[in-house]
This record gives sequence, C-alpha cells and structure tokens, in this order.
Amino acid sequence: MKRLLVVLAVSFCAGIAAGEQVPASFFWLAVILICLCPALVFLFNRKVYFEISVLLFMFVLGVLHLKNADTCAPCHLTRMDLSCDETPCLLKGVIKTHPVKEVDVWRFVFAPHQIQCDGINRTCCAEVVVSGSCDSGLSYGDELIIRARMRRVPGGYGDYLRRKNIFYAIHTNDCRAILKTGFNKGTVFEKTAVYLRRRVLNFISSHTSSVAGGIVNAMILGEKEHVPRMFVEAMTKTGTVHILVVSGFNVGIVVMVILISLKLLRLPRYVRLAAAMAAAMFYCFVTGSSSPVMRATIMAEVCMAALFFKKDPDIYNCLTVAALLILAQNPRQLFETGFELSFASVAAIAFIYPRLKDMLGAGNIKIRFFKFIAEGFLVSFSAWLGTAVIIAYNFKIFSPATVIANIVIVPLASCITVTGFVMAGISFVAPGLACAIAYSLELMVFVLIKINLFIVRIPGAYFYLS
Amino acid sequence: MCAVTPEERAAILWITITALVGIIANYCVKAQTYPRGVSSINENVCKVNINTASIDELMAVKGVGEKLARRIIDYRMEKGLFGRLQDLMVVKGMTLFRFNKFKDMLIVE
Repeated sequence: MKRLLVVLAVSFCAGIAAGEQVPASFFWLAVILICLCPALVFLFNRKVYFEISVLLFMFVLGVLHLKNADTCAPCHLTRMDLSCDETPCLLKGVIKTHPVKEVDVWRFVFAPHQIQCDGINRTCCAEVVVSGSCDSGLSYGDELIIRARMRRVPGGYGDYLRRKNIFYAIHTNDCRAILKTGFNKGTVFEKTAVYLRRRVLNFISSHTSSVAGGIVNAMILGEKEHVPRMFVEAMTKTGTVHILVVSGFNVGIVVMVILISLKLLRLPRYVRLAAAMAAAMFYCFVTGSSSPVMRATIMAEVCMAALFFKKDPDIYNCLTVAALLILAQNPRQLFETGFELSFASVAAIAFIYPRLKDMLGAGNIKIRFFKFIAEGFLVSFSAWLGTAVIIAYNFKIFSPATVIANIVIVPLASCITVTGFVMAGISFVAPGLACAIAYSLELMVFVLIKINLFIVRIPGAYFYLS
Repeated sequence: MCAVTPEERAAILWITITALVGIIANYCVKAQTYPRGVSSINENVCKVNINTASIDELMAVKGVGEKLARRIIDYRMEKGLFGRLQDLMVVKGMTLFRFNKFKDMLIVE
C-alpha cells in the first residue's frame, strides 16, 4: 500500500480544518484519543475496522493539534495583563527573521524573552513584528532592547500574523527606541548562513541595477522587498509571480550542483547524497524557511533519503511527509495561501500531467523541440488547473494567459536563477568574473520584464473577478 | 480499504500514539511555563537625556516637535542643566498632558 500516508494526512488536515468549529476543549479531546488507543490495539487484526479507527484517530489528532497550537503558555504576552498599548514597555530578546530595511525602516520578527512593563520585570515568550528605525545595522539573531508601545493588529493583516502565531506589533519612529545589545547569538550554522546571505545580497545589489538586483535577489534568496511593485503586479496578472519565490526549482538546482560537483570528485554515492541533503537544509535556512522552500527542501530530503537507502521515492508520499512536517510545526499554515498554492501546484503536476501526457500522446512527438514545448505546455496547464480556483478565491483574478506565459517565462526565469547561483558562487573566488556575469543577468532580467509586459497587454490575458 | 500489511499497521499505531504523546507533552510543558521575576532591564537604555540631547535627538521622541525641542535647548543654555524631569514643566509650551505623554522616554543625567 503506497498511498496510505496520503489518506492519513488528508484525515489529519481535515481535523485541522474543522478544528475551529469543534467546541470541545483540549482536555476532552485528549481523553477521547487516549480512550481510542486501546481500541486501536484491540482492532489491530481487523483490517477495515482498524483503518476506520485510524482515520478517526487522525482526524481528532488534527483537531487536538490545532487546539494545542492555539493554547498559549502563561508566560505568553497574550496571557499577561499588560497595558502596553497605553504605556511603553521594555522588551529584551532576539531577532527571529532576516531583517529587511526599507527607506531607513527595519522590519523583522522579534522574540522577546524578558519584558518590563508597569514596573514589573518578568520572563515572557511570544513573537512580535517590529518596524522602526535603528542607528546600527541589524541582522538575524542580534539581541535587542526595544522600548515602545505594543498593539494588537486588526483586520486581514492581523489574521495573517495570528496564523503565524504573532499577536502584537511594534512601530516606532524613534531611532533610540531600538538598541542593539549583542550580535548574532546563533550557532555557527546560523552565523555562516547569515554571512553568506548578506554577502550575496550585497554583491548582487552593488553590481546590478536596482530593478534587476531586486528581481534576482527575490529569485535566488527570496528577498522580495526590493522588487518593483509594478513588476509584481504584472507578474500576478500573468500568473507567473511564483518565479519570484524560492521554491523546489531552486532547491533542485542546489542539490544538482552539489551532486554533480561531488561526482566529478569521484566521492562515494552516500557521501554525495549526505552532502546534498545538508546543502539543501542550509539553503532552506539561508532563504528564510518560507513554506514553499520548506516544502521543497523536505521533499528533496525525503527523496534523497529514499535513494540513500536504495528505495524508490514516491512523489505523493514525499509531498505528504513535507505537509505533515510543516503542519506539525504550525497547523495554521494549512490556512495560508502560500502553503495551499505550493502543495496544490505540485500535487496537480504529479497527478494531472502524466495523465494528460498519455491521453494526448505528447511523449510520442519525434521532434525534440516540439516535444519540449508540448510537455512544457502540459506541465504549465496542470499547475494552472490545480491552482486556478485558489488564486481566483484569494486574489480575485483569473489569468488564462498563465499557461502561455509560463512556457516562455519559466525557462527564462530558470536561466536567470542558474546564472544568479553561478554568479553568487563565483563572487567568492573571482569577483571580476562575477561582475561580467552580472551584465548578462541584467540583460536576461530586461528581457523577462519586456516579455511579461507584452503578455499583460494581450487582450483577455487576465480578468478581475470583483 | 487500503490493504495494509501487519508491519504497516504496527508502524501506523506507533506513529499515531507517539504523535498523541508528543502533543500532550507539549501542552503540559506549555501549561507549566509561568513567567518568572527577573532582574530589571536597564531603565535608562533607549531614553533621551534632556541635558545633553541635540535638537534632532529631542525631536526623535514622539510628541516633541521642533519648536518645543528648540525651547528646551534654549532653556538649558539660559538657565543651566535640568535637575529633574519635572523641571521641564517650566519650559514655555509644555503642558501636563504633553509632559505625561513623553516623560517615559526622557531622562535627566
């Protein structure tokens, strides 16, 4: 039975999705599941009853997991009776994400471990989104003391933050309100990743124009803040905005480069696979561990682990393991559009593409160029079918041009990504050569922008649904 | 339904029960993580010293405009350093409402 894990994961996800509507408390759900455990053991040899019980168990487990995620510790800021929205408080903690600077304003997620408010000092836990100016440069893992008012974020953005377990926001224009008291407190792994990220970002930004630099940084490091807004809108209209997100393709390139390089060095197979697994994890961290890159990394890790143990990897099981691990960390990711699009597109390609290919006989085309075009069209069409409803629901846009746009833009974006990786790698050993590559990168980005604008102008390329 | 082998059933049983134990353990640990009293964070960090601050530094404090900042500095030059925070009330344009608004961000050293 190859797809059992998928069935269990679907049941688990259904439990998470239904979790908010279930009025039972964590305690009673836990009691139900504890009572179900002996039943599972008792029904072990009764196949159908066992499977039904396991599905029920996974469903309730999903509900329980959501209830657990919604429960905050007594030291959590939301459980403290604070008047921080009226009077400023002092927070001491560390930066939890790569800070982004936009016109003198830093934005990052801050994890305070100590709070001083209303004259009381105590330990605390939570994550707070911070935007404010600071005289010193900030980096992941830096220790800060922040003096400011905290406020709960209302509306859609507040809901988005709450899904990430962030309940408070701080905004301050006072550059003295954020004081850096310590540098990156992380491990050697984290420090190296932060150093590499900063070095590559700086190199790309200083050797390309602001537009090209912003786009390349988004494509290889997931740093989307400096991508021109107009370009993002144009990409959204053509349904190709996914190329601005670090995803499976990028992880695939990293893995491929490591495997080929180590094969040239004639290292044993298991060493190559182990090194590629470590590199994929490292790249995931460097790019900020967003949902798509986490999904891609976990899938790559599971596939390589299967190859390591000389087993055939199954794409559905890999996808399921990735979903379960991401949801284990935060079940609210299930309601994230990025998570849904990432998994829906890969699942659609895995399920629809082979069937369409067989049905239309795309694999029998003799001329390689036409075969490539036909297969590219089918992959693009499959992904579009899988994601069209989610995009229409969330972004109120329907883009028939997506299928055509992806055939042209994805290969070009692939070239840009590969060239970007090569340039980033070479910049460490031969910066002069990397500068030359930067020119070709600039040209490719220019062509990408022009093609995208051309597709946007085609009548009927996209429709707004409201 | 899925035609699972006994080994697969054993694996499922192990995974589901382990997941349940993990979630309950996580809940219990969270429920027991109470806030502890700790030594205070240095109160004076991030505060602006009104005896040494420049106009820009004073204006960085929310609620202090250019006019008021200039008056504070003029007062300091004219009458000497501030002895305590409440002395700010003597500065022209300072009201109790404004003073209460930004007194937490200022310090006298």
